[in-house]
Amino acid sequence: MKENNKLAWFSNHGSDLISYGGLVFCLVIFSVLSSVNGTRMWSSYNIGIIIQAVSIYAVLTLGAMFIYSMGYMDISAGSQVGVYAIVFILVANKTGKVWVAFLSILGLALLSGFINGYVAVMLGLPSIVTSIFLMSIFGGVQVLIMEKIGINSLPLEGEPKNLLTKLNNMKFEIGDIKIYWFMIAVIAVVAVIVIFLYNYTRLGEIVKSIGANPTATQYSGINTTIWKVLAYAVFGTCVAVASFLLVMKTGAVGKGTGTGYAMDIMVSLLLGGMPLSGGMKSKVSSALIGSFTYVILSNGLTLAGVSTSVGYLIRALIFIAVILITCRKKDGVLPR
Amino acid sequence: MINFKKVAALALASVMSISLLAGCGAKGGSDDASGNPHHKIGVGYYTDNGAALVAIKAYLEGVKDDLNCEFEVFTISTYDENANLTKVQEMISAGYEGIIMSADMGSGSILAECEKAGVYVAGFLCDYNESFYTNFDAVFGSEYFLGTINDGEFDKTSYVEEITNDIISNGYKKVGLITFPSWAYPLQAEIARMVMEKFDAAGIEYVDPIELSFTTLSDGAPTYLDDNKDIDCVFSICAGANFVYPDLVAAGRTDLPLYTAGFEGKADMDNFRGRGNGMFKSICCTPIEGIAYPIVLMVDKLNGAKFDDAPATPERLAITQYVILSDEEMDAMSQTIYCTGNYADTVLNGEALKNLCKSFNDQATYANLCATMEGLHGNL
Repeated sequence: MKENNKLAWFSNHGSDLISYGGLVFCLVIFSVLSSVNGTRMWSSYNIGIIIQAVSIYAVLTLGAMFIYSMGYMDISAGSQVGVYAIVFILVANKTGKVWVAFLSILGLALLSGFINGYVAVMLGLPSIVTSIFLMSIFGGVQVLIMEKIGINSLPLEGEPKNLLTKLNNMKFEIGDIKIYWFMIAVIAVVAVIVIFLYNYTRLGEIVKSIGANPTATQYSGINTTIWKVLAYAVFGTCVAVASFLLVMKTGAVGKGTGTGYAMDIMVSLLLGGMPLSGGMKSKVSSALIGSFTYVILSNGLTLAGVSTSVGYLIRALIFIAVILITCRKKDGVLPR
Repeated sequence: MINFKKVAALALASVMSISLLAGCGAKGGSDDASGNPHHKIGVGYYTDNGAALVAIKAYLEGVKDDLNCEFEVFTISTYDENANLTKVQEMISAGYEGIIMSADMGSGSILAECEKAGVYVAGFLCDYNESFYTNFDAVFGSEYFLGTINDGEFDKTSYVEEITNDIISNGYKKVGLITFPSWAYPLQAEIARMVMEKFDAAGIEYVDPIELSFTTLSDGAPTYLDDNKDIDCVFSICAGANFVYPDLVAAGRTDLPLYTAGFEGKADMDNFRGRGNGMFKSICCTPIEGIAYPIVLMVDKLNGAKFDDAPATPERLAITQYVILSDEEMDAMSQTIYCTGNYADTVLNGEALKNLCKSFNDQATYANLCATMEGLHGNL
């Protein structure tokens, strides 16, 4: 009996154990390896850059939770980030007002969220198809805008630049350690909102239900279209916030800004123990744990002196292992 | 029930990851005989493959002991600031005291980050045009930016003269001109303008230049060869070996001679004039030893030494490229470290490089450094 209870516990919490264990494993092994290599993972500077990098990934993955919970996937996030970042800088430079720029990209993000969700449902297309469509549109728009402007890198200027630099550098100090708190505050605020939406509202309940069984959810009288569109709207909002954080970090954008984020989101969620097929076992913690694990993995490999090519190999191996471990469904690993 | 597949996957990933990591680890060093400390310098290169990269890695490996430095080459992006900034941040965390970059992308934020961390930045094979014209104070005005060496000359008169003279003397009647977008490479547009002027004066016909947005000819201008069947020569002012040559071959136009900028050390070497199909009539590229310029500036800065004749603001040093127009020149070119990837073939070894540094040689001057860089192309 006791043995059965243990097995049941492992069955229910196995993926949590693996995802939290993965993060702890990364922290321990890279702390050791970086110190062997003569560098310090826990230096004030390194903690700062980890938080800076995590903030963008965390906000994106927290939003993407709603999409992946439905068993859907989105590969347009990267090109969306690129376009929103360009639009943000163009509007901010033109108006001199950061809030106007942010509202502009928020509006765009909600619109594309609506298109992403509604078109997929109305045309009965798999979500991946509409996201490919959006990725192409946004990718094309990004290149066109940059070519029209005629420069390779578009910088933020004037008052908006000063404000964002100030926000980026806001910190408090504990001894030698500097804590850049604005990024942490953004992660915390977005996480609290997402936790609330995901765990305490019908939105979270229904997206998980759609992931577990879309037909049953629909037959139980739920208008899944509205909820799908809402899920995409939440994701869009998070993409807009992440774009803002990205501009705050780099202060400039190019035609390749945002490249790779779509895949990074998926890998982060997987590392956090999120089943790509979605469903009731999806958890918000996957987004946070996954983002930290992904960034620490990347950061730690560099600090440990691992060459770029070997780093790719290690990441690929871990990715394959995590997919095999977290795959629950015999009939498919990937989202619908 | 234990799932063997999952356990095996976990075990496999752990064992392989740890085995890979086992090769890494304690690097470090002590002061050299001159009392100069050991330094770690990161080199960001804009691509992860090609003959130039192989040669640069071999060169850095060859000179590191003489300079008491270690170098780590990493890949940077030519269009994504965030990727470059993140990589530079990680290099700073990993203890690198200097960063040499071959792309001017995100330089403003990178310099701001490096200023905070006390890390120096220099450029190579890059004109830093964008920073020079749009972000001068943040980059060239920063005490942490040391300067850059350009990928060739800024004044392309001599290059244009050599290529157009060869085209004219070979009797070609109508020439196709191809460039990358002028917003990214304004110098290529300028070369195209100079070439057209020369052709106008010589009575050579040409097709107005087309811009390839970093795509191949077949992707960027799919009907170009059909629309211009009467051209008897192509001058690709952009990298023709990768972006034009494969499409000419695929279209069966191996009869079209190709003059091109850049050098890949593959098809362009194997099919140069008397070799292979003979399509390539010219190539040009910058000696990889040009990286010595930022290395010297960086090593001296880190060692606290300064040339007596150092410029007041960081410079964009232009050097003469290899311009290869004959089989004899290609034979000589193929003996350089650029083609062989063998450190023994360099024209500027570690000892010579050390002598260029003020921190190792009190007689060293900035003027001598510049003159040495200018002489790297030898007779080519």
